[in-house]
Amino acid sequence: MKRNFFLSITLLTVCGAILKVSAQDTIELRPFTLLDTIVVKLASSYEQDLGSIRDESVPPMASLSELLQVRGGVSLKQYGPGLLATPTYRGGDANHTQVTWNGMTLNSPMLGTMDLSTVPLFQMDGVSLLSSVNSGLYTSGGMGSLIAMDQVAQYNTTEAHLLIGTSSFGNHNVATRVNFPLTMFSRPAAILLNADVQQMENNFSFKDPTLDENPIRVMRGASFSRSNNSFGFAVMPSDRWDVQVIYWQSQMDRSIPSSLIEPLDSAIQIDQAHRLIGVAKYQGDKTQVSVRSFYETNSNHYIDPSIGVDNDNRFEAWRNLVEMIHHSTQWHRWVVRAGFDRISGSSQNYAQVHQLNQINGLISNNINVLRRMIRVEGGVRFDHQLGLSAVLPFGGLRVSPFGEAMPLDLKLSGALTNRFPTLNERYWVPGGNDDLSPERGRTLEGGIEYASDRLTFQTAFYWNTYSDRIRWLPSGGLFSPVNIDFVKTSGVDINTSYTLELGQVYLDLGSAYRYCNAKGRDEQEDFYTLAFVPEHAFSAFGSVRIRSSTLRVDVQSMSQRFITNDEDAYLPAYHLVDIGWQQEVLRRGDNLLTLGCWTRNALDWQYQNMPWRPMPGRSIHLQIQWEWSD
Amino acid sequence: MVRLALFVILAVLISSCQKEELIGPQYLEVSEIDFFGDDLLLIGCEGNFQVGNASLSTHDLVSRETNQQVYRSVNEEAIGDIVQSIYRTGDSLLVVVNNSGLIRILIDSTFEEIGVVEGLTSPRYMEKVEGSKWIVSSYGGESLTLIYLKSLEIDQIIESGLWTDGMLRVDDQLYVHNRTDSTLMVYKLPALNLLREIKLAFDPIYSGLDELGHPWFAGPAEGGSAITQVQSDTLMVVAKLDTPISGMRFYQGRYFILSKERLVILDASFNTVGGYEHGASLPYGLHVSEDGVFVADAKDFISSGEVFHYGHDQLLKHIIPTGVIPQAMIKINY
Repeated sequence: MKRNFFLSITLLTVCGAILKVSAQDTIELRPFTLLDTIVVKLASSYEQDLGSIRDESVPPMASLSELLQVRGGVSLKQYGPGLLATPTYRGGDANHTQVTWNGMTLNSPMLGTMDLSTVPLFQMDGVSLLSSVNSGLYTSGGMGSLIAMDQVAQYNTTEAHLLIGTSSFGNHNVATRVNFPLTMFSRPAAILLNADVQQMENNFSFKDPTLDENPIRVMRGASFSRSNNSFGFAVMPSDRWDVQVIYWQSQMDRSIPSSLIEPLDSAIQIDQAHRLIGVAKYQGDKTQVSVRSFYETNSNHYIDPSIGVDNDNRFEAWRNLVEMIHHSTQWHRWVVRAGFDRISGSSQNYAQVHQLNQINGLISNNINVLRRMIRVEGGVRFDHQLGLSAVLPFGGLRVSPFGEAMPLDLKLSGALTNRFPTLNERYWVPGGNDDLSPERGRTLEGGIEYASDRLTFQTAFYWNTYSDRIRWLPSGGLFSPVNIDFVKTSGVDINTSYTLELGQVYLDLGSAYRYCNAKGRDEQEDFYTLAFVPEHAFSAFGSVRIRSSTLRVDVQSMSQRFITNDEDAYLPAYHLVDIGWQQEVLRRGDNLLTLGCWTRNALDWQYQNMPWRPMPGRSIHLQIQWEWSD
Repeated sequence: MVRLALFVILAVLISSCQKEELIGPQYLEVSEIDFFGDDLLLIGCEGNFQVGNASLSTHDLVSRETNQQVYRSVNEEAIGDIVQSIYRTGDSLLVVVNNSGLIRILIDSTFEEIGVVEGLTSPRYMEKVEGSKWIVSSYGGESLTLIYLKSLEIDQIIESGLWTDGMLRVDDQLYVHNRTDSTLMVYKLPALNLLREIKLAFDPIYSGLDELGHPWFAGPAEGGSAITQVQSDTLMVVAKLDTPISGMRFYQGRYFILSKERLVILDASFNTVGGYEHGASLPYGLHVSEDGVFVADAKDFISSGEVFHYGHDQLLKHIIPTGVIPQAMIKINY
């Protein structure tokens, strides 16, 4: 961790020293300059753009978890600040949400999940939340949803950001980001640097409900430190070619306190990851071809000395994807993709190093008719690994009844989904089950979207099923995963956003509401309510900027969640309000210095997101941010 | 702008009260229980891991009346996280609550708590050493813990295998299931000196004594399960099964072996003499007494469970509703 800390500081220093890059000779670029990640999304399916650090209403240094909760209304299972945070979306488990980075899966092939608390939002250019219909266009496994993160080096933007923050409970953070274009052999190029260091002691006060009169105690043994460094380079060897390479190094150390009802000492977790992605894109007149290659080494080391657990899970993943997008006419588009992944995993609980090869392919067809008032799209995805195959059709219809006169769309889409068993589910000793079948799903959604320059309103009604859901159950004294459960979920997602700029006043508002009815059963029993799935989740954000001052308010509400399937115990609802103020204190040329102050959980609401895992009450965050942009 | 900001902040802070201080898991109201009966089956339910919803259920074997959440009804608090085992000594009950790291001592007729032994590391099972000294196994704690019930204190910690589980006393020897490396650790009582270690070809989970006082041990093995007996310090593999077993008891000259779908009955020589399909979807515990055979069903391992009560005529008598994940069962009569 010390080595990575110094690496981060060095990178921060280098980034901070780059105050200005001389403007290069102006180069005429083709219309596209942003290296898109995936353009194959179904227009008929639900997607929510959650923004990036460039959005005024997104607080700087918000973690990905906070962004999903505040702007996306997504429910998370959080064990505490800096502790494991995984999403549950439309009734799915954590391993039913895939997280991608520039189109490539980050979920662990061993665990099937991605710990969102390790992801620095400051590093990403954009985050989108996609429903399960669209997730199959990226990868298998997204039976609930897909979180797509983009990070690109940009040819037309010169910018530098430095953010330093400190907050209650002994928490501190520093982050920087620099993007500057340059030329190489008279061709446009760009460099992107990111560095992020977060150190949290998490010594927050909380009321302990396990003791009489709920005395106030201070959390101990919950420290968390995280460092992320990334370096990106992009170049356009010709007007039609675009090549980008990004390296991302990540390290996380955390101390995991036991829950309030357990007397044990803290456990320790140390994660390290190195990720390298290369993307080459060719833009022809009617055809675009891209090749992506992604390599990751990852180590997840969990130590609990009180019960003698010392798991060191390691994996290497090499993923490759070729995509061709062909516009046969201005109304008709084909997309063909083929991918190959090679993954190896090792653990002290594996009998040997296990490897798997996965091939996948996709064909998609989009047709616009009646002056694009009707769009019909459909296709099929194919996946194969370790003797298991899945053929997953998808499709949708989007109708714009008023054409260009009004940006109103009616949408209907559906897909089959699946999730292959993870390496741990197959090979864990003892108990792993190599005979598992993939989980299978069906998803259907329909809704309305209105998207003008200022106002966006989107709603989607959905119906999902999950079959052969894998659960670890005891068998003869050992726990072993089996395909046993069936789950059906239905509900509605609604999100809105509104922006207004009037002179020196800028207003940005948004909200998200999710209703989910999730029921499950095993082979023989009646349906029961799924535990830990809130029926209602609501979030709203708002910021108003007047001249050099910005006021922000974020609201999150979560309804009660049952923690048993027969509804005889629950976690109470909670309501959180964050209030922030930012003041521009210095503006000189292209430099801007801003001071900010946030009050998180201003209501000082005492709550637990997971049983017996206290969350912090009111806290104060102070930050100073320097920005430079050309 | 400043006024607006101040107004918003003040408005939020003034309206901030958390109307009811509900923090942490909330449970349904439990009705008061006045009378338990004289002939009871006490069922310990593990509850969901780290949720803290373990419980005790009682079933009156005469009236067939069942009470849930007995501990919480009497003591007005939750019993803890994962009830692992229950013992009766004199007029007291000892309830081992694994993930809470404690042992609760209850009056056997009223279930009122009279003491707690705390500070244990993942306690699982107990055996009496002498007097009020008991030994407690520790799953993952690398130790056996000697406790003194009179003072409710930990008397001594003895280093042992990492994952010690069940225990079986045979005269002045204590057999401890060491699941770290599938061995039996044999200690001399009461000094608790380690005499020897016996290597097994399977993971020892279940144990008991036959009618001659010979210990037997059983657990999952490659291809299914294995049963071993120890006679005159000799280890004998007496039976191999092609299916995992979820419980095993010896009662009146017969072995009752619980598997996923069947209850198999063997005589003392391990010859099959009977058996039947039981109704449990996830068999998780077995108890045999003069009242019959009780098969605990953990169902989906998330919801409330059931116990299937079969008579010795192999006919289903009654299905007993229980708390979440019923496992430990003990008969209490007064």
